Formats: sequence, structure tokens, C-alpha cells
Amino acid sequence: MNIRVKAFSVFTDILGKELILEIPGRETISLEDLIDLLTKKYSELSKLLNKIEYILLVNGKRVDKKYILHSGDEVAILPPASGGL
Amino acid sequence: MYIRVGITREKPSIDELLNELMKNTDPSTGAVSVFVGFVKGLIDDKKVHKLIYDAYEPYASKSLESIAYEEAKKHGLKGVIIIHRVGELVPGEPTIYIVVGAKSRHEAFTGTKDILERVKHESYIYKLEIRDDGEYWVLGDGERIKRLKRQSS
Repeated sequence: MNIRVKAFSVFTDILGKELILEIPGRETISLEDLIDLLTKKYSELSKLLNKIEYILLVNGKRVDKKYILHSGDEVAILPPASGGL
Repeated sequence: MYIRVGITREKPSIDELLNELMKNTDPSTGAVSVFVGFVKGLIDDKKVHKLIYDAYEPYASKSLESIAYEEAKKHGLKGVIIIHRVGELVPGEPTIYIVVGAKSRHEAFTGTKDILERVKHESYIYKLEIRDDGEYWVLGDGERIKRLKRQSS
């Protein structure tokens, strides 16, 4: 299965703006397990997630970490918004 | 009620936004509040060279739309226009426009204030400050974290 991961703000320093995560031999994965995979691959991400608040969106919607992802889903990792002035 | 939101690199004309709002709201509209936010040239005594705004589209626009509808309903507003700019903006350039039409000043002022606060916290829009002392991501309402490295993609 493939999951598109989009990063914003400080998370782009570690992940770039977008990456496709290929997970062979799986048809689904929980959001929690996907984050575990990412933190194993990117050690700096683990440090950052422990340091700052963050938001996870799947296809634009806020979900909890037990959410089950399917191939083609888009996961976004974002810090708290900083729009306005 | 009239609602329009936009995320754009362009600089809109305040006159055109005002005309758009008045043309599209009913004759009981007696007050229009216009808020414009600008890039500051000085933050924490450090010179700011530019801010780089980025938005997670289409969800950033959807969040602006929800904010506009919900606050219009809550305050009984006649019309709301929210325009947020993205890309590289230098000090003195406008970043956000909130135009609110209402029956009276009280609804217009409080509606504008509540919309701005929600846009700052809920809009999936992010900024990077390029300053004399380095590059800082702004997280939430004022927390800053130094840029770790330049991303390549």
C-alpha cells in the first residue's frame, strides 16, 4: 500500500513537503503505526513530536491515532496554525 | 448572507472588497468593518526581511469558509469576506483582509474580532519568518522554532 504524507511548517525541515510511503504486504495500517514507521525512519521527527503540539489530518479531516488508513490516503502533519498577521 | 473566502498571492483592492460586500448584502446593512493585517518590520527587536506564508489547500480555504459561515450565523452578520495572502511578503505588505457587514457597529466589530482570532488558530496556514538573526517557523500564537535546515523538495 501507498500513503501520501504531506508536511507543513517545521515538519518540512525533516520530511520535505511531500513523500509517498510504500508499505509492502499491507492493505491497511493504523495512523499510530504509520507515525511509528516515520519516526523510526526519521529520528529527528520523533524528537520534534515530543517537543511541540501537532495535528494529524487524514484526507483533510482530524482523526484519532487509531484511525485505519487505506492505500491512497493522504496524511498531513501540521503544527498549530500561524495565519493572520 | 454573503460569504466569500480566498487564499491568494495577489493583493486585493479594499475598495473592490467593500463594493463587493455592499453589492451583495441586503439594505439593512448599516456597518462595515474592515480589518487588514500587515507584516511587521520588527519582531523581538530583530529586523524582519520577509515572511513566507504557506497554506494546506483545499483544506485551508474550507476552514476559512467554515469560520465565516459559523461566525456570520453566531453574530447575525449580513456578509463576510476573508482573503488571506500566501507566498513571500515583505514588511508593510498586507497579509489578511477581513470585511464584515452587519446591521450595526457592535455586530460588525465583535464579528471581525472573533473571525480574526479563529483564522489565526484554525486555518491551516503557516508562516516562516526570515529575520536578521535567522529563520524561524511560527507555531500557533507566537511560539517560534529555529529552522532546522532547508528542505529540498
